Amino acid sequence: MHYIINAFSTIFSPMGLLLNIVGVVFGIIFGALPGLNGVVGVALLLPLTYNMNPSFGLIMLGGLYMGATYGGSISAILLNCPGTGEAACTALNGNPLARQGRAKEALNFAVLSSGIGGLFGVIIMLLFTPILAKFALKFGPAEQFLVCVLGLAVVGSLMGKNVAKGFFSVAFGLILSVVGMDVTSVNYRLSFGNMHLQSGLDLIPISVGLFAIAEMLVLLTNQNTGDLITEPQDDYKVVTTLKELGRRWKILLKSSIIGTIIGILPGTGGAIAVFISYGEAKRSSKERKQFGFGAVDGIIAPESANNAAVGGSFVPLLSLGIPGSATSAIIFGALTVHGMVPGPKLFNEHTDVVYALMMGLLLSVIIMVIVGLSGTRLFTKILKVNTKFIIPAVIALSLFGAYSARNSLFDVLVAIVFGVIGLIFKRTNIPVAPAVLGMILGKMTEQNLRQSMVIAAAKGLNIFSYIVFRPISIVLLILIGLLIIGNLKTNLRGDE
Amino acid sequence: MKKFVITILTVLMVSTMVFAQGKVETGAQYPTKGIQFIVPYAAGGGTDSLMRLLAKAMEEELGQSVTIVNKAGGLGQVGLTELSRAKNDGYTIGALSNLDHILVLFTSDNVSYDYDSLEYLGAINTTANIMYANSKNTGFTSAEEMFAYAKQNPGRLTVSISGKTHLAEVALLEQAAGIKLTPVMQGSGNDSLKAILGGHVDLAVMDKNFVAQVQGQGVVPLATFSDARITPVTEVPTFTELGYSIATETYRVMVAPKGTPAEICATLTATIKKVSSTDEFIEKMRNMSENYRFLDAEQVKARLDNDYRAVQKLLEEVPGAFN
Repeated sequence: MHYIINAFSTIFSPMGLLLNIVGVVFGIIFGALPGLNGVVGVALLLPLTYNMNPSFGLIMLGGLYMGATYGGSISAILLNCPGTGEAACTALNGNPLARQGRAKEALNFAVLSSGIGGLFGVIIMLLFTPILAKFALKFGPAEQFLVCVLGLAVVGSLMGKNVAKGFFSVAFGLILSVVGMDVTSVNYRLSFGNMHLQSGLDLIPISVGLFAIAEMLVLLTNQNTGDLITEPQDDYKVVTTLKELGRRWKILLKSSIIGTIIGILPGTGGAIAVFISYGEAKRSSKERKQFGFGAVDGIIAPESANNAAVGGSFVPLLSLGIPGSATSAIIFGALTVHGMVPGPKLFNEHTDVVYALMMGLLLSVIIMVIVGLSGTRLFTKILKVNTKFIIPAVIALSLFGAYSARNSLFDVLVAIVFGVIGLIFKRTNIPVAPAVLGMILGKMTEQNLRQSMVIAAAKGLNIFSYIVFRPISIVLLILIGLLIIGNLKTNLRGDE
Repeated sequence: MKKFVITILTVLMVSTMVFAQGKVETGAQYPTKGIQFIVPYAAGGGTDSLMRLLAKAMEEELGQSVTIVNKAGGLGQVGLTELSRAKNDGYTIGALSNLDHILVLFTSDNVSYDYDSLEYLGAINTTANIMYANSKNTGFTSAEEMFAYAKQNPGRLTVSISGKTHLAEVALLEQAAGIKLTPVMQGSGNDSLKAILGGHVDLAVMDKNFVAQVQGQGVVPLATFSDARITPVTEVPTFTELGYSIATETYRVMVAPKGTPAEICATLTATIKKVSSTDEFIEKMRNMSENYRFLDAEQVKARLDNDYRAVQKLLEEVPGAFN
């Protein structure tokens, strides 16, 4: 118990507070800028932590992670350029709301959902890490495969009216994920002998191109007059937001749970949590017809899920030493440099540092909400900036973000090419989100399936029985079934 | 007109960002400006963490910035291709992992550099891989028990691995012990850890650093692939002791593009030796579970040549080892 009290004094010390605030603010900025995200931000600030007291270093990085996850929603709502893959679903409803003059409303819901989801994830992490870690281990290749299938089934919720175009989009994404080295056979695929293609296509330049650059190209070719969005913006009180969130508590809770659980599974991150919770929200929401046109549930679900995943991703890291996401993998590095090996011993040997990180994350959520809410008015001013300035700024920042993913000029080229592809998609009404989903999930789905096949063969089992006859698999199969049935019902009802 | 303005503004902004360069100072002694250090692996991994430690120490010694640039992909191929094509003026250097490097040269297609495209400057660490077993599920507490079972049940034991080095080690082990295992390829050591802790595979080959992480969780180290017992896990026997003649080790080598002037190479090697041999540095390495072992340019080349010949021999005797 006294560890928690010690942790409080650490996080509320002047240095601890300052670093937390710095982390969160930087995180929000990184998240909002297209192409940059929490991973890049944490990698950039990592060297600064080498000479710091480890508790302080972790407080700062944790704050950055939390802030960046929320930050993506800002550009998603205002510019239709999700700053991170985790904000892709937020753009689907946030931007239409902004165009209807409801930007403040969308931003308020985004930050408060992020806050509540984030809080949920961190509290679960605080209370249940050991149990949850054991639970996470039970997810082997068979279960992970089914989680990926569940994610892919969400495509049905993202498709809109034209099913064929939706399938095309996700197939396109799946093919993109194949390019590069295949882990299982250690062979190159679809690389055409090109060294750059051999290392595979990175998600960041592609999503930056398909979302941000394509959006700017659309604006460019639209002969827009001046302001980004001409609809006058209504005010929307924070209190009203809170009351609404209270009414919609079911979806908030469900999405937070989904986010936390997916965050706990190593190898999956905020993006997958977002898509799955979005799909589930659409299936069960009363506003489901509004999804894609400005449904508030369509913001609450993804934003709470991705921030809940932050807390979740620390569960396997702190208890088993296995990072739950790419960002927490880099934070792993921050621990090892100080000689702390993440794993079962970490809790016992460095309890103070672990608690400082956990408590620090709680505080980061609060800071994030305060910064986000007070910044809403400032953020919406972006809408008044002339497109003359927005377009070059976003394109330049996006290309910069594309480069910084892997320090590769090739990725800049990829971003430009996919910007054009995205423009074509948008002009022909092919949905872009399924392509991104396909890209995120393609490799993971295939890898887990093939590993399951290898293990099943070694055990002399039929692949079907290996995957299906396990307790967790059965639960997942039921969820997949529910999702598919839900999507079928919505699509067969005709008008969307 | 508006579109023209937008285009010009975009080009200007992008150019500023892309072409931003560090300051170049005039002076005589190397180094006179910042050095780029290419790490051909992702940030946060073992090679990356160690090289960041080294780069920081070199920075303090040389008085110029030594910036780590991560260029991951293809088991180091992407980063090393870039390094081999970089200007050989001593301002771009890099690191590689010995077996990954050699295996790429032997088994990958379209590799645009070869063994002689790099100057090998030195090495500071040595580590080895260990065969772990999930003793809760398999009941194995020693290598002998595993071998006995494997001989009776060819192909039934699954072993999680990450990377071609482990594939080579498993192939050598199969050859030496006359057994057949089923490798399950993962993306990283952490994936193998998760697979074996969760009981989804029977065995795993991972770095010795995971011994601390698996303690008390039903996973035990059976034996190590190094030629002698390795600290800090000196309780783990070597396969060699048990009668199977396999010996592999992993060490990171600092490299520069071919043709980098000899004096600069010598300066770099000497700097690395100086900064890594301090008590403080060795202590920091130990905190990262890395064993300090310095090799200078000739020594590291000799060892690499040895590894090269060993892999060559393996491929001659077992051509399908890496499929």
